[in-house]
Amino acid sequence: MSPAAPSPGATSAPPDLLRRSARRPLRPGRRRTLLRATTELLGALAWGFALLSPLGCHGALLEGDEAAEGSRDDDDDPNAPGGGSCLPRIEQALILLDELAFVSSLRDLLGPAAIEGRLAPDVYTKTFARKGYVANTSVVSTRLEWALHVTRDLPQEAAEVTGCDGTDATCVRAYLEDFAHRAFRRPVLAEELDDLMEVYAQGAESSFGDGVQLAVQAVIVSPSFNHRTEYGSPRDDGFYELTPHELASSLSYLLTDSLPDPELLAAADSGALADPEERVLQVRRLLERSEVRGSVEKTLLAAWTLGNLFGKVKDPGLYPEFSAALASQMYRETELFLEAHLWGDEGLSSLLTARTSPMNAALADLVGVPFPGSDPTEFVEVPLPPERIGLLTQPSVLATLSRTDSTSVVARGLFVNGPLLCLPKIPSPPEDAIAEIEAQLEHDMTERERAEARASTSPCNNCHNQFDGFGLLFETYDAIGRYRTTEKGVPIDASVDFSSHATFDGQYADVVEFAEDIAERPEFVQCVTRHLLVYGTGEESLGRDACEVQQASDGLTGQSNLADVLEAIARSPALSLRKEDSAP
Amino acid sequence: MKTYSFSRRSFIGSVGAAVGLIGLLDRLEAQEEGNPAPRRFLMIQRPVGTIFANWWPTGTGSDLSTYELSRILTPFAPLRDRMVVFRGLGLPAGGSAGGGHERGTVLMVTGRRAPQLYPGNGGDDPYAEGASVDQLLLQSSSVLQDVPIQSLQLSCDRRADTPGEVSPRHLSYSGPRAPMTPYYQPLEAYERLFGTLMPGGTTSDNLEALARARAGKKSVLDFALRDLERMRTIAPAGQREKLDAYEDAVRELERELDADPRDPAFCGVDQPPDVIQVSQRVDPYGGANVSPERDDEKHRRIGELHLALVKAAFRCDLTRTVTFQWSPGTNHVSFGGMWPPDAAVFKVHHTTSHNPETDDVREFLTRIEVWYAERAATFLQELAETEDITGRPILDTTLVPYVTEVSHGFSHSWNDMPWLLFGGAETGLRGGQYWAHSGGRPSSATGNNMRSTNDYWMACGQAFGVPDFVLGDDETMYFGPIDGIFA
Repeated sequence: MSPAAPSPGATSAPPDLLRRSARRPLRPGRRRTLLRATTELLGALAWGFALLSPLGCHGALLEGDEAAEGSRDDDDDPNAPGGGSCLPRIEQALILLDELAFVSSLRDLLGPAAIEGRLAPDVYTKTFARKGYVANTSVVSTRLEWALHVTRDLPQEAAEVTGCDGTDATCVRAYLEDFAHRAFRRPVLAEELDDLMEVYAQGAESSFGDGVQLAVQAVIVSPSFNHRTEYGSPRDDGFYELTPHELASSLSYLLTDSLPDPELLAAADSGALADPEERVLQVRRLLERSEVRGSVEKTLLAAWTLGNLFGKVKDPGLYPEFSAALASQMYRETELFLEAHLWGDEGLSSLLTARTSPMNAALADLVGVPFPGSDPTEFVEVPLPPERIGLLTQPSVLATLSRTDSTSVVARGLFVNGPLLCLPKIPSPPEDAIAEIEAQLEHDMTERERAEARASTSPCNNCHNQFDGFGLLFETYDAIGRYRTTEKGVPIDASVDFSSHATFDGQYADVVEFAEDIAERPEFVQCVTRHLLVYGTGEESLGRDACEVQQASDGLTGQSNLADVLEAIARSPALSLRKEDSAP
Repeated sequence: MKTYSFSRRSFIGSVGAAVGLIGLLDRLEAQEEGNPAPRRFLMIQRPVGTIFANWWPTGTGSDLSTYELSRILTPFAPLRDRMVVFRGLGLPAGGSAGGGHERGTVLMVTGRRAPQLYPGNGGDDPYAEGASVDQLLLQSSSVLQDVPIQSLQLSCDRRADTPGEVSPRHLSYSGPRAPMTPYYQPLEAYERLFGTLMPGGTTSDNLEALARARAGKKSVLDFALRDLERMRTIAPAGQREKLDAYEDAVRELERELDADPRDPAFCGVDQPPDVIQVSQRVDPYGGANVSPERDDEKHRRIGELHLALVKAAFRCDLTRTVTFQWSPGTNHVSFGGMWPPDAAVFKVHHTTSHNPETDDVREFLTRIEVWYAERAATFLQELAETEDITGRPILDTTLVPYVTEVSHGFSHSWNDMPWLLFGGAETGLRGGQYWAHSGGRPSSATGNNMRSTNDYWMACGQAFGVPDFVLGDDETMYFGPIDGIFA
């Protein structure tokens, strides 16, 4: 079957970006870069810790993978898109909607009231690795239970919902065609509609409303609703260009975790979305809606793992002011802060360098600044004290990346290394090394002394030297984000010299200097781009160094805002081009 | 072996003259005539390991009847002759990634190396890289199959350390990275088991309404199958597996609708369970892991409602494969009446297990272990005293692993896993046994010369007619089924 209408743009010439680079000859040295990125893709490693091997830091292990090399015979083809510099490596795929996308789609199809009364997934964590997600009985049974739940009032409301009186099958057919069109996010085949009308007819034996209810349930449980495809149409060069309808779904689930709105669907129906510039226009249009921006903000918060603040426990003897309510307020500060800085003219670097932040009285008190508002529960833009700057010194970040009773140099360091800058991944520590180092660490050591112990102990230092330094920069903020100058009576030295670091350099007196510096570095914006590209493609193994990410973030700087990033992704071949599925 | 004291007439009398039940009766009669009798698998998990000093029974040799049971094992005394205590089991957790409880849970149920972590989720949440033992046994054993609901997953608490964590919340996986989400809400599990049969049981009106509801669901599933056929024609070859997985699921749900309706009251559940406000997220609690409110009473209530459904499902042969989880290994339940210095202080289970190992903390954790043991023992006693529809005690045909994801919570140790195994006569389990690891090559993935827990699971295959059952990636993860556990 062909689920999509013939797409006018499906086999059109590659976008300008690609055509330009297609003329570029393959430079020596590029092959190695490509190989590294390929093996990284194949490696499918998780963020933070992932088990490579005790030798796995510096990414050294990723080189020289013979199997990957063997699969790359075609990368010198000068006619290939990207001229060999960035061939499509993401394969055609069938992607099962995760529960968040499934439930959000139901909400948009049937209205928010339909969702009520059943636990919906929360948005504090989002799934970045969707490619391996497969259906089983538990998944489909849950979807069936949702279908029954959201259609519970439909028998009574059918006339109102469908605009039909129940005597006119043509009217019902037209309603179901429209409903399935939205749900499947593509035109509906006559054959499909016939089948759906059969379902309707069965229910209609009892009543018109029962018939509508049953047909709507059938749409909700169908695999067409529960999956989106990235198959594309074949091009002359053997790669596949996603159809306009596939692109509409990709963009929509990236931006909203839900199905395309009517205008985006119309742009797919007309074939207009085949043009990258139309995709950009659609992204701009969608981003005018605050709930769409809010959804993307939540995606970034999830990429930075800040949703984990919910559930954080702090020792009340040490942190009596910490509570569930305060944790929510910390998160709220960061939400409001992102809202204010992600989309404006000052660019993404302002996330790291802003000198004000929205706080209520409790947060201002925690941070140690006077609260200028009249209502203590109100969030007011407050100037930061000199020791604070931007996102990195917000209590939400500092409290999330701490333990119950102390800071965590390791958690904070891994955060900078992973979610913030997308530096090379760090393997899990070997068991015996953990036991050995734990025996050495004295209970009354300061965090810096502990870090120094790790730095002077093999094999710990192989990896901890990569990220402990980042964590030490934050030592002047305690486990709930209060500023401090001493730990266990010892003055804190938060300065770090990265000159012996493998993949990062710089010398910083404190996190303020660090934040100002990395705000101007390409890694930060590339890393944000990486997160959103991964979210859009479900291809979690894409690293910041992957050519897809480099290509999409080409031209982006700290002055770019998140809309610029999303527009770049909308244009990017990583979103729209696929390699043939390699059947097992 | 006991002959079935099952009477068709009395059975029909007890459920009303329900047309739909005839098929079930025919099936049971076929079993009487020599077809394999059902076997049942019920994994019961409790979190946070044990306190060794109060766990091990005292004695020597392998005859458990000569041992003095420990405080934690005492509730199991009436079941002693159907119980095996294991000493020297190690979880093959080496070569995997993830936190103590997270990794422990995945390794406990899959026995496969789990080297990769979910992004986010606290950085300690490993992917399961294979199907879980319950699902693998189900796939390979005919005596677990041929029931309306292939398997059931139940859990009594959803809270984990981060909102999105997967590994601590799941005991069942249909395949790699494919968790089977448990029911938290007993009413939802009830509806899955009994469908929409109205109160009043198998009256003809109710049966008619049920038949209509089922016909509706079938047409919904039938549409999914037709959709799958169309999708198959355009799917790249490598993607068809995902459609197969979807189809398998749809067909399984379809079979559930073909089953003879069971009257929940006849199966032993008079009323649908109450709706419980299942806790979703951790509310930060205060000092020294003290919660302002206790929630062990709710915890117990959810557990009892779930277990009543398990008993009913076994009784009426609705399912034969169940995993029952009390809570994620990072248990957030706060227990009242357990803190030795002050019974009115409600301490949270898991976080307290990471307090300094004082006598009070040890005593607190011991009391919780006793609490869980009492719940399990009471339920197993019920299974021993309740007859299924073939007229024999449920426990006779049921194998019940009693497991936890770490051995010593303070250190997250995986050595000397405090696991038990229960089973009635028909399972072939040689109960009344104290098994200690002495010979056999230990797994290289376990520490300290331990015998891999995979060997425990591999032995369980014998209860289900699968003597060559294998669990684990390769021989670094297992040695072979533990000998002498089954007759």
